Amino acid sequence: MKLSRRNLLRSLGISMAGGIFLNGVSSKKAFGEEKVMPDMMPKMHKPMMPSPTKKRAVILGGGYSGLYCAITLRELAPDAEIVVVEKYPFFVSGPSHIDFVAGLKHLDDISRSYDPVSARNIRVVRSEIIGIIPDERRVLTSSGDIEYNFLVISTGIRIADEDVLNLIEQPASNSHAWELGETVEMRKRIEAFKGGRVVLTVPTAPFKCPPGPYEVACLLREYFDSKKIKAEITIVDANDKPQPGPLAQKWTSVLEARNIIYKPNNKVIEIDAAGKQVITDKGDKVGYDFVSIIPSNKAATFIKDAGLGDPFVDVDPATFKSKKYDNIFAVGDCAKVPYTKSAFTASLQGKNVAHHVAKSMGLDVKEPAPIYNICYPYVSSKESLMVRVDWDKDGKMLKAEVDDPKKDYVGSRAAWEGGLINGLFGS
Amino acid sequence: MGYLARKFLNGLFTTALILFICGIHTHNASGEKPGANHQSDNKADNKAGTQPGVRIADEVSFAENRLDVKKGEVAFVEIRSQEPSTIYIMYPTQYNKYKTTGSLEGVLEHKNVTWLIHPVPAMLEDQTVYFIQKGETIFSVVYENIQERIDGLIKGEEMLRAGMEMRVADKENVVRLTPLIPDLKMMLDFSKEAKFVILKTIDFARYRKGLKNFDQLYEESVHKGSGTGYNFTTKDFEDLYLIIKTPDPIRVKYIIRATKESAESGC
Repeated sequence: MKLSRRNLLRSLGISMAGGIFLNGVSSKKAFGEEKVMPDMMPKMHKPMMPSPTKKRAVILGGGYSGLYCAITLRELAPDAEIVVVEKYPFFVSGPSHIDFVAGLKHLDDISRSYDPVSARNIRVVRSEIIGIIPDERRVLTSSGDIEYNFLVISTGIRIADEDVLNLIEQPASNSHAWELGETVEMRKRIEAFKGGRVVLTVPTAPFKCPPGPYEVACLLREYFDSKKIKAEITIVDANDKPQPGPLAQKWTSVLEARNIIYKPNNKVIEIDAAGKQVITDKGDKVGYDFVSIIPSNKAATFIKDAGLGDPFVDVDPATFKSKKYDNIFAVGDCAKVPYTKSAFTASLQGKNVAHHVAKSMGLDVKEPAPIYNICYPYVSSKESLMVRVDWDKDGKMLKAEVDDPKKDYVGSRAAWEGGLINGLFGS
Repeated sequence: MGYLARKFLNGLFTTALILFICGIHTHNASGEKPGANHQSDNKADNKAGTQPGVRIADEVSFAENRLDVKKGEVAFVEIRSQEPSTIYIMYPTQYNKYKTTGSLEGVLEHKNVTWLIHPVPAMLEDQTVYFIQKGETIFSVVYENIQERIDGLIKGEEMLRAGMEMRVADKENVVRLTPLIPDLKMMLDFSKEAKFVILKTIDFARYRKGLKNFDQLYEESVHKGSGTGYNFTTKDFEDLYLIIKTPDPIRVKYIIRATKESAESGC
């Protein structure tokens, strides 16, 4: 039976519990994030598709950066073979994870089928990425190997649960909004929450969507208040100030005004699920009734295993080209670049890298536009902050601006994300 | 060597800067904005003496310094003391709460400090930060242009990024080395010979929980040794923890320098 996006979304909502996702398998295991050594993979591993007969660009990851790379490259290189490898059967817009956990949107509102992308003569393959063998120009996936001429890595971040003592052993104790399965679980727990201590933790920068943890805290405050649920919300932050740094002062005021307790310079290093407390590197013990730990953000382990960088892919920020291999590129959250780890810069990085891949194919294309970031972090469902940063083509920051919370920015945020989605899927 | 590093490391502050010595109200610049002329300057508002509603100062003296940093600049605050002091760093909202309720909730705190370099960048808009020092301290500020600083790094200059010196007891002590990004140069300096090991977070968690002891971790770790100092370059964004074992109370100092490579990482 063909699994439709709608059916899958429905099943997600029903079957998601304690990190269980798809066929009752732990989401971490199901999504291939356990360490696999490429050099241990047998060479008899079957090819998923024939060797390339024309220039083949394989794009790992069907998020914003990967898809914008694919559709831009399609325009720049009409004759190229383009393959996108993605583990999820459908696309979910990253920024809306926050809307979803706060009850502002449904999953169906923020997800899209990959069909419109496939319709552009881009082959979208659903498979787990297991490893990369750069010297053989080969990607290993759970469904077979894929040879490439050019490789674009856009696999986003991996949540490093192993950095928090006992978190791997007690996965059911946690949920967060930084992965799809975890996001669905977190929403369920929020809906079931009857009151008490809410603890949200923030990892050391850099991490995906830097304003996100503080947005979640603000939206939860609003949600619980609207339901007349008494909640003491505490943010335990590994950083010395709220992120991103330029918004720190504004966040401090926003959190204070919402009676959200803020504990900086406290990195959560252990969870004691039985005692319902997290323990920080200062030795502080913070009790909870509901906890959301965001562990460190790193790139997938196969990137380190392939020698492409650790914890992120080492690239030239001007071209996104690997510092070790001329035919490998990396963009978005998995790349070591100066740009904010956000959906917006990921989209622009995807467009940008497509130009550099096309150039490497020998095509005459014009210089891509430099990267900039704009986003509208929620302070409530009715007000958002604004931050914009511009970089030059080499990744040097040129200018930046921030603005106080405004009602208009909520509309700007909706248009901003809608534009990103429409650019890929048409609606 | 960068401008700031030269200033600090040559000890220029001790002779050339306007010093604010705790208990002596040497300069009242309340409401003044700092200059952008890159001269060593102190335009912080330094108020000494016990304030109503304050809970942190009992028998010891303390000082307050308001720091206003203009957009596009970074202020490097240096705080020195002979005896270990406690330093609180707070934004205006936190400061106002502290003044009205005495609460230090959410405030950045450094304990047992005898020397601190703390950067306050104002990348996108003006920043105001308050420093409260518990103990006899000397407070100084240097302002730099962020863009010029980045340009200098890209040209290959090395620049001081942060630093701290603290007194540790005659036992195993923990010093958190953070925040770190790749390609920073880390210099550790101890006033007497000591045995040390530098741990990543998960190993530190095991150490704190008692799952592994100092000697076990010493065997397993890459960054370790015995002596009066140690230098290394950071490889990634991971927080590091210095565990130092000493039979006598000593002073532990770390200095973090930014490099061209660290500037290119974008943090």
